[in-house]
Amino acid sequence: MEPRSGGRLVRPALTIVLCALYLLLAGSLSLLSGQAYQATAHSSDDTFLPRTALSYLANQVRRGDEAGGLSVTRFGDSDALALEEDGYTTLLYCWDGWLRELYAQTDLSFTPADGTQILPLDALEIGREGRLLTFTIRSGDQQYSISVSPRSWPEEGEAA
Amino acid sequence: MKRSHLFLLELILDLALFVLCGAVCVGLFLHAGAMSRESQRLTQAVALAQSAAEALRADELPPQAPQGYQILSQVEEAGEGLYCARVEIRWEDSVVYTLETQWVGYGEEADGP
Repeated sequence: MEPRSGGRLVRPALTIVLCALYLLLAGSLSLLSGQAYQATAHSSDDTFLPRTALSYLANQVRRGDEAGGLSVTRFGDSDALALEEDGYTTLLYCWDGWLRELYAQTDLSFTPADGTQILPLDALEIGREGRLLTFTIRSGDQQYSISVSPRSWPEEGEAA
Repeated sequence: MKRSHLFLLELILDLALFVLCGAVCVGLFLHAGAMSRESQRLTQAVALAQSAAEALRADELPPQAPQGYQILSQVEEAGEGLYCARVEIRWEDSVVYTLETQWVGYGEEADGP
């Protein structure tokens, strides 16, 4: 009788083991797929935001690239790009974790909080070397930069 | 007895089929990760090439390449103030992106029509 009872226990035990293995594999695959999707989406976001911000700044430079229309200044506690056209000034700067745009008459004064939020951004630095304008932004622990050469800027040493 | 044998056999076959499908999914996840990294490198390379081309036009030093990237540039004067440039961005000795551009040099525009 004992071998028969032993045989009766093996099959249910094997069935339970196989079912448990199936559940383990299904759970592992679900976790793996979730992590893979999360990593890909996170990586995509990390690249999209800074690149879009830099592309936006570069296109704004090209849009306002005319004599006397482009300059680098300070606004709030951040470097700012100033585009002047027909008595109006567009200021592009970073404040309170956002890339902001402020469009107003040149003779009016506004605070950094008045600008329209464009994209999330931690910091913006604008540098000039000769005829080359370089934007450097920080998003999280990553740093990205892009350089633009405005055609309206004169030789180094002359006023912009 | 036969029913239990058939049930076990079916369970084993289902498990084997699931493992096979799971292996395909894992392969797709790895491929997606590789494509994401490749896309990131291409985006970075395009931005570097653009910045390098702008620096060449402004007669300034090219930007500093991030770790792993190399910027190779070549400028030729085609005559009448026209410059032709080729910027190549490499990642670990393989070419990721190539940019060819032309521009009229500073000071030459005044001689135009």
